[in-house]
Amino acid sequence: MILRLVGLRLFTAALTLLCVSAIVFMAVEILPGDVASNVLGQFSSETARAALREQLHLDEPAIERYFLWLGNVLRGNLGIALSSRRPIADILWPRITNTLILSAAAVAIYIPLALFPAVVQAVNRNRSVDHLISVITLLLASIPDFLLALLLLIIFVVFLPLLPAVSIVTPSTDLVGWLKALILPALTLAIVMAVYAARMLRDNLIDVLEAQHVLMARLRGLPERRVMWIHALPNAIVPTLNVTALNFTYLAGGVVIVEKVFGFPGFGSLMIDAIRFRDVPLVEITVLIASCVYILANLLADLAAILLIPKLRQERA
Amino acid sequence: MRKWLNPAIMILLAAAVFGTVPARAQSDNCLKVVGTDWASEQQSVDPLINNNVADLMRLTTIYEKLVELDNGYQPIPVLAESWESDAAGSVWTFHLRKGVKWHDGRDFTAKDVVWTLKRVLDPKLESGAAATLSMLDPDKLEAVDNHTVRITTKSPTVELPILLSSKYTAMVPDGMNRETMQKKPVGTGPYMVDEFVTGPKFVAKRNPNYWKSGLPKAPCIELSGITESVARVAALQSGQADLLIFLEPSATATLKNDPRVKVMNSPGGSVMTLSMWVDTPPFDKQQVRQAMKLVVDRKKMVEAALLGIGAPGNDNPVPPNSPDAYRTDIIPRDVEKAKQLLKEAGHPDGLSVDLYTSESISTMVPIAQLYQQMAADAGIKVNIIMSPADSYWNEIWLKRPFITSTWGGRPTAEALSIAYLTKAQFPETHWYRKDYDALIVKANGTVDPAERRKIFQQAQKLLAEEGGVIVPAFASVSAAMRKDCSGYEPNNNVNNNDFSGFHCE
Amino acid sequence: MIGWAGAFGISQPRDFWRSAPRNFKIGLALLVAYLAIATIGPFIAPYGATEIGTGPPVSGMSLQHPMGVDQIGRDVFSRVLYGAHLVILLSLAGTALGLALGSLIGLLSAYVGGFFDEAVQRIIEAFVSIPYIVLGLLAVYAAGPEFAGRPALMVLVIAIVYAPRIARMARAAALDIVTRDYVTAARLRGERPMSVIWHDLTPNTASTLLVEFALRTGYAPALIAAFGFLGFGVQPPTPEWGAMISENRNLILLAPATVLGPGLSLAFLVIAVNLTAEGLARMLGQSVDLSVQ
Repeated sequence: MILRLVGLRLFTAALTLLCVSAIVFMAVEILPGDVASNVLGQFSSETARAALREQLHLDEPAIERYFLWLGNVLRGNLGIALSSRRPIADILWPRITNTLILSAAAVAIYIPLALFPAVVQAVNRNRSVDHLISVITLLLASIPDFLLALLLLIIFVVFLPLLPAVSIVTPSTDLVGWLKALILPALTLAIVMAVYAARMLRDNLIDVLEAQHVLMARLRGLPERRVMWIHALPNAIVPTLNVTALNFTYLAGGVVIVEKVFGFPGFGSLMIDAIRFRDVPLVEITVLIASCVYILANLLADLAAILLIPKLRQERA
Repeated sequence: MRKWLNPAIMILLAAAVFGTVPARAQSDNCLKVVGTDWASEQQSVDPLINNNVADLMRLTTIYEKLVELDNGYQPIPVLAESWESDAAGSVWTFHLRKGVKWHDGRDFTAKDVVWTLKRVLDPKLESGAAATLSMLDPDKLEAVDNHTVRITTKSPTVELPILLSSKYTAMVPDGMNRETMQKKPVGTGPYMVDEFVTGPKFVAKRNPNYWKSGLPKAPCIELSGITESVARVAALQSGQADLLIFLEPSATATLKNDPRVKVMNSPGGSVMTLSMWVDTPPFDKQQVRQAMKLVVDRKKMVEAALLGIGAPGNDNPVPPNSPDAYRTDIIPRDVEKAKQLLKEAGHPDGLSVDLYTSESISTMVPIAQLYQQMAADAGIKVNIIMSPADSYWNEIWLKRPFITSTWGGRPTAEALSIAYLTKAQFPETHWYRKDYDALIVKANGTVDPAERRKIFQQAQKLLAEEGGVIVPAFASVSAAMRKDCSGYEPNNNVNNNDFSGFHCE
Repeated sequence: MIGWAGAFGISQPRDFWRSAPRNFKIGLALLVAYLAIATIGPFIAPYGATEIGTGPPVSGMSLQHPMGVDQIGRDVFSRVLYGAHLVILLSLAGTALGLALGSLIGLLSAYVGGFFDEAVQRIIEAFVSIPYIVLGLLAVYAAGPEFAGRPALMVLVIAIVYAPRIARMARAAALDIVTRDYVTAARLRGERPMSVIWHDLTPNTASTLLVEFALRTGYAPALIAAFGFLGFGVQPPTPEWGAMISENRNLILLAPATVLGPGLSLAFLVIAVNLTAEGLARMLGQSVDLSVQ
């Protein structure tokens, strides 16, 4: 049963990806400017440009080019980036790994960052601590991301010289270097995600804490801490799971800004730079990958919700 | 118990991480130089392709030219020790420095010079200097002996040494082409690499055979770029960078008061221009152009757009404090006269124009905005169109009738030619004037310096009064380094960059 | 047939107000304050929005310049006052356009159902899965350098980013209703699809859409700011708050007020709209999804 569900979801996901590839291809088609002169520079010769156009099949109709490209991708040939003439597969791998690591760090920080204020608020609901934390989270949620990034940069680099100003990591960076480089960008991302989750988590926790079965647990004489962590929290987390999944998708967009501010050589800045430099093959592949991540994240969230709920239903009984 | 465990772990982890943060850049003794940008994929190790700050930094570390220019735009010997020409200035003989070795151990000889210059002139390789050096004939480049090169030019070129300081003419070994360079670039510069890898940083090690004895002092150099100005400034202030180059005025102002850092400004600087096409209405009427120039408050431009780090300009690319300048006082602002001129030209109610600019060079935007306000006083309504930074130089520059632009500081002849000759490669103002061309050609062929200067001054006057370029200011080139560093000075021309003497305690 | 009147379940205005959560009241109060500032701002500003030479360039907070002076010599406080209505207008217009487009597509898709619905769903998912920055970037570039800085383009970009997400919401909300009796009755009667959508589907999804609209409007200023930061914002010298934060960010160590002034103004506007939206959601019985995606 589950298998059929998964299969169906995967199929629709594949269809969606196909749509994405078409949309991106079309969008890049209508970008003004001559690709050849953008790549080769304004003063390149007409022969060089003609050669490039031929190489990219630019004179053929767009539909043909699309299927040609799609065929290649499905066979694993991702193409060659226009600006550096390097195979896209070579360019992608280190960038994707970097951003994955950054995202993992962000998520690792985000979980406690969302949990602690929510728990504190739920326990002290409607008292001044609750209101204070609410105000702070609200404020943090409302500042534009890049401003938050810059403020964190200034606090932790200029005023308290603790962290590196830029997070440029190279293959030769060691573990400590990585950790130091990751903290600021990961913290920025984590804060943005956490403030959304925290508010929802607080509300859910409060609802749950006042619910029947928790009342029962208290009547049975269980200590408050146990009530919170073992009974209330797991129930409150489920609806928050949805938000968490959506937060992953925030990572796809927000990571671009954070990578730009801190100079982290990740996938987000690769994607944006590709668009800025009209590196058509690279744009298509990177956007496709980004969409893939989103779709997978959603898929996983859906499946997780389905799997967890029956279990919890058992627990309540 | 569990409640205390998590914070304890966090504290331990924090101590481990932060305990190793030093006061300054450590663990590797590489000098850390940070520029304003870093193209992640388009990275060149061929001097003929020098399109961005990252390329510039990398290329000036690996390669060197025959001749450099000092801040007075006079040639300094680098790989060429001395030179002389015949009376007409058509046959030049360059004597090369002896004992210079390439990174791979071979000796630097005249054959390398010939090969390099042939590449510069090769139309297939599309170098930016092909036009400036068009007076060179690829067949008339002779390696007389191992250390002497004879160049016969198509027409008398009194200032050939200065022209050979173009960034594109950095010397490469005989026989090297783009493919071989891409794998392992070989130059004569202070630092070298065993192989070239595209990446977010460029690390090069000391050239043990470098011809300047005792240099470079550091075992290696690490080049990178940080686009975000706040992050770049923070890197220097916290000691993670040793040198920042090409700073924006706001960064320079921020660092000026920091005791950990010293700031240096070049005496001259880049030419900031607002260029109009003189063949396109409404700029085709000379009175309109003159009105557009008269509304500028030049001192305020320097004070506000450049935060004082620069000097006012007189509508031509030669700075007023240059001995070659045609006038040393600054053209005053005259709004009434501007209105009068507009009326004469048939615009009694003022004018409406589009001005294209971009954040690609950060100082262009405040200049455009200030100009907009200043012009409004004379009834000229300027509509600023901000174009995306990455496509500005490809799609807007040279393709729109009114744009902002900037040029590296250059010696008089090159400055007056590069954008204003009829055959200029970059005709920013569509200024095609035979009389102007004639003046430049005459000056280039005049041997007597005083006479030459007079002719250049005539050309400047013509350009300033009738031309389509507004030059409100010159922006100094700024650099900042940590207090215990020295040996680097920003040059008027951003392309003349020399890291060989830079070192830190 | 349930019309618009009962859509929001409002019977008595007094009950409405009394039962409103506190957050809603705070948010609304702030919002009203902002609207007031947006209206009278230009009249009480001490200097012009583009007036140069108002003070020494790059100076900090002072009595004469509560938010300092920027690099070109303009008073930031005056610019913030002038920019208030622009931020609000751009956000409202963009979100409204996105709402109109999105809900039309979503409702239509839910109503028509079948293969059309499946296909449209895939397309919507495709757009939603593309990171919003990429969408915005492509849109700005596709418009060409001429239009790059126009506020109208910003409106379009916001609409393009929001429409797919709103479409998804609208469709989900409509799916509930599409199977109800009165809709089937209308269909059997031969009513044109657009008529059914307008008279039956829209009022019943109105409360969801309204909350959606409010939340998205709240996030729009930050979206515009993000684009400004990446270099695709409105053209100078338009005093758009996001652009001002981006413009002045290099001055943050010299004159922090020039950045924090527009920054906090933006933040509190977002707070105001978000609180109002949340409160509204609670009153209408909606669950609140605060994330932008």
